[in-house]
Amino acid sequence: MEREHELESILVADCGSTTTRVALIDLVGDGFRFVAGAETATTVEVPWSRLSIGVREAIREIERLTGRVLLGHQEQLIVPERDNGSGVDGFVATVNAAVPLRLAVVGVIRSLSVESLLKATDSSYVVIQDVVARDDMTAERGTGSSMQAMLGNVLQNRHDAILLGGGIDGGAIAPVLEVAQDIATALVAGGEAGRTHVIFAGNREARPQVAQVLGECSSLHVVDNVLPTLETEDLGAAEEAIGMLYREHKMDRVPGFGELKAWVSTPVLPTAEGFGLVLRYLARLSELDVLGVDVGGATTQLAGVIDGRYGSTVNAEVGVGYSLGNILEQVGMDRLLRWLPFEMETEEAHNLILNKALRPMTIPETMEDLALEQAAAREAISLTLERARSRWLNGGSSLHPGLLPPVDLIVGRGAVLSQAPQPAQTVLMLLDGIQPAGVCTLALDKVSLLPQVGALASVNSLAAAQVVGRDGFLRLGTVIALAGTGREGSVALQMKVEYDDGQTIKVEVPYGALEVLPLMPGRKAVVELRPSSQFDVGLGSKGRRATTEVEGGVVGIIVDARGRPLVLPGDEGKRRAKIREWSWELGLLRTTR
Amino acid sequence: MTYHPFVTRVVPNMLIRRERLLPLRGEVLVTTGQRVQPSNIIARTIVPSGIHLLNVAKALAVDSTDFSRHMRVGIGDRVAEGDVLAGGGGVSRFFGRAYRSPIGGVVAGTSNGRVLIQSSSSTLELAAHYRGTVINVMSGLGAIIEIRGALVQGVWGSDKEGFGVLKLVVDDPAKAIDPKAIDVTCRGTVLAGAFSVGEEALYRAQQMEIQGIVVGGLDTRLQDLVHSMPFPVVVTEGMGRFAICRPIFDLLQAYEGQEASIRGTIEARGGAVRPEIIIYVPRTDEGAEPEARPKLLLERGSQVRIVRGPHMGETGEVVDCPLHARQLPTGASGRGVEVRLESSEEVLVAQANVELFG
Repeated sequence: MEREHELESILVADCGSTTTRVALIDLVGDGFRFVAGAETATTVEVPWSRLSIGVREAIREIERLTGRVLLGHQEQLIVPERDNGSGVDGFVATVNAAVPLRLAVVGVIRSLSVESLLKATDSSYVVIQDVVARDDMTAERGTGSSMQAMLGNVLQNRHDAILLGGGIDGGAIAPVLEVAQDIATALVAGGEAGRTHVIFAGNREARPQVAQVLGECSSLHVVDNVLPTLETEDLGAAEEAIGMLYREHKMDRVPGFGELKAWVSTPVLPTAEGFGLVLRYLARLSELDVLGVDVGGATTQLAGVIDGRYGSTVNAEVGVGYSLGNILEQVGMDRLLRWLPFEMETEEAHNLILNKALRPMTIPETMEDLALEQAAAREAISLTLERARSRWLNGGSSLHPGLLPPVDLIVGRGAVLSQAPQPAQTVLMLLDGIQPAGVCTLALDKVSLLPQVGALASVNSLAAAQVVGRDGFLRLGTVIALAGTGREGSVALQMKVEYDDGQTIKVEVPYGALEVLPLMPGRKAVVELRPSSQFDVGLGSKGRRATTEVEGGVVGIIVDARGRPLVLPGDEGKRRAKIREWSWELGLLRTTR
Repeated sequence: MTYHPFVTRVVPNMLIRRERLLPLRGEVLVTTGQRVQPSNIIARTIVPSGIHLLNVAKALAVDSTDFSRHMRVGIGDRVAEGDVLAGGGGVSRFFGRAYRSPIGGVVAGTSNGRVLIQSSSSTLELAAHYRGTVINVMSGLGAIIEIRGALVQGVWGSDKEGFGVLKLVVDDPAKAIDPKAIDVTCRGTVLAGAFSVGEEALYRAQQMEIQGIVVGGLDTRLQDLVHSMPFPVVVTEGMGRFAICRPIFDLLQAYEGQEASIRGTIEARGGAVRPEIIIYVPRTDEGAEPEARPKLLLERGSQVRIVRGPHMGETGEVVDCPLHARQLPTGASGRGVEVRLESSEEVLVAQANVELFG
């Protein structure tokens, strides 16, 4: 705690795959506030090849904005803050500029240990190159083709690490040991003992034998079993081991990372970890179910706390910059083009997508290009949500088996969301990508602070709390989303809104519509919701009425009566007309072709 | 605010260093100080394939922990289908059953009662690809070669390499490659076109054993075909129909007739390997500068290329770098730069959408 009091001015940085953002946090009056922020291109690629160049540029911009000297002799950060006001007391950073860790996942039973191992890989920047289950090999009558392909890749040095598991604690040792022996044969054949990392997260009782088999031919890391019993999963230790390998073998090797490391007051965190920390903190602080979505250039992350349980999915090859081509590959062009309110030739769309992937730091300059990039963001969210559902977000919704469980707060971040020309565009991307149901608040990490604040919490929790509370978000509004389907145009919801100034309005919202009611940031209203018998407002029962207090935002109250799951008209003309109609309602039509 | 934009190297004469590395450990065949030609093999390795894992101990129902005494083969032995791998008397006198190999190949590994048979493999030979001097050897991995030449970076490439005399098949950067222009005089050359390359021209180039093609843009529908060609294609501007920009076209034109190494390799992240053409400048040229980190910042007077939006592919000069954010046509607010295009028209472009030559 003593150290916390020392840190009164802090610079926080996040180095993304394409953009580096730095912010100054300082004591202003009675609390910590965001004072100034700056962003510049991440300078990790040739010809710059040094992360710190971009960080320094952003710091210089903060110097210009605040008139405060932060860099001293040889452009080193002045720490701690001097009596003359120059410098800062601390520096914290998060980084997402490294390439992902290449993993092979090997277990005994696909539906048990392999599933749990895959879940453990979700929290880090990981690309899974092989997934092998021993029971698959049995099913293939012992041909073991997937194992042999994986071992071939081991011989060709295509993995950074192998994540091995299998068996419950106290269960049979032989199956997992057999898999370990298979792996060891390839590692021994490959030579260079200790080069490949193996994380063993299987049956605790098998540890001595596994260590005997793999100890000499690999760099072995033994951690808690991901599946200690058939009923319980324990992913923490495996997640930590994967995270450690990522930090040591990928993040630490980013050019110029060492210089950044020398400045920091607390270990540099991967951006996904920082974002996860702040979401957990928010959930605890506010006792709310919170979901965060970060759509980056290379990666998309979905993380949150639902019913007190934290989960995170880092989709390391899905993003709207470097990884844009992967989105196209995974969903196909039709799924991207369906979000456009106008016709676009497939060839033109292909060119725009591939050129963006080739130069990920560029930004759209035409409405067509912007709409396509925002369509890709919807699909990036949707793909990541799909994966999260299969891993941790599978608590199920009381409203519909395919829907997201109700959440109280959704926070978006990433340049495509935070720098959208209109906040309503951000709202639409979040609604279409996530398809929340019920009543929830939508917010935006507008100045890109949250992951760094997550990292900051370990050295100054008070500053972290105050900055999140005061400057962490731009409140977009409250969304009331109906689950269910109905007849186009029939009344889906009757609602009465009582504003805090005494005004009252009554609204009828037809099925298929998206409507916005004004409610400025800082203002509150009480809404009485009377859904028709086919719709649920998030209470787990169709037609059930509710009254709740909602807060305003830069967009207002958004009533999404398009139904859940959201189904776009199959006919191209009708679909485009619908998307134009929704854009019109959100005040976006003037900005679409 | 100082901004570090994307930089494309278009340099007429410089000292360039390039790493040539094997994907797997192998044998390096050159020494420091040695002069190399593009076709010289500088390193080689064996790439394993056809991996077969045989659980011999299990098949023979014996304990795998003490299995070595039953083994009849060792690492590196060549075995034929039906050869005894373990058991069958001999080494283990009291053990009569034999395990015969279901496949021919080389024993790549034995441990824990298992035998790893590699039924096929290939030798990968790494050519120097460049003309230059080996300045560093990385044992078992490869070498660094120093080259003197002109460097042009592309933005996209197909993952191949080539070497040949540089030949321009158009006299105007706004023209596409005419398949008829690819005749016998083009055999073994690196062709520089301008506007784009079509299907017919690609097949024609294959017929004429072309070593590589440099174009401004590429029709995305041709990507698979381009990848299937035996030569690299390097795109300088982007996907779509774009003329090679003037600074690159002028440099290629200036060095027409010189030999060039062309490489289509592209790695977007983690080191950012870009496709490139290195042209060997005549020996009479002096003053080659080391390939230092360019000290390039976006400022008034900078020569830039616009890389997104309606003016993509156009080049010009920065006439103003406004300090404050401007509104872009999308409604977004961001830093912009005023660029005077070659046509003298002045346009406002997002700062993120210009790149420098250097």
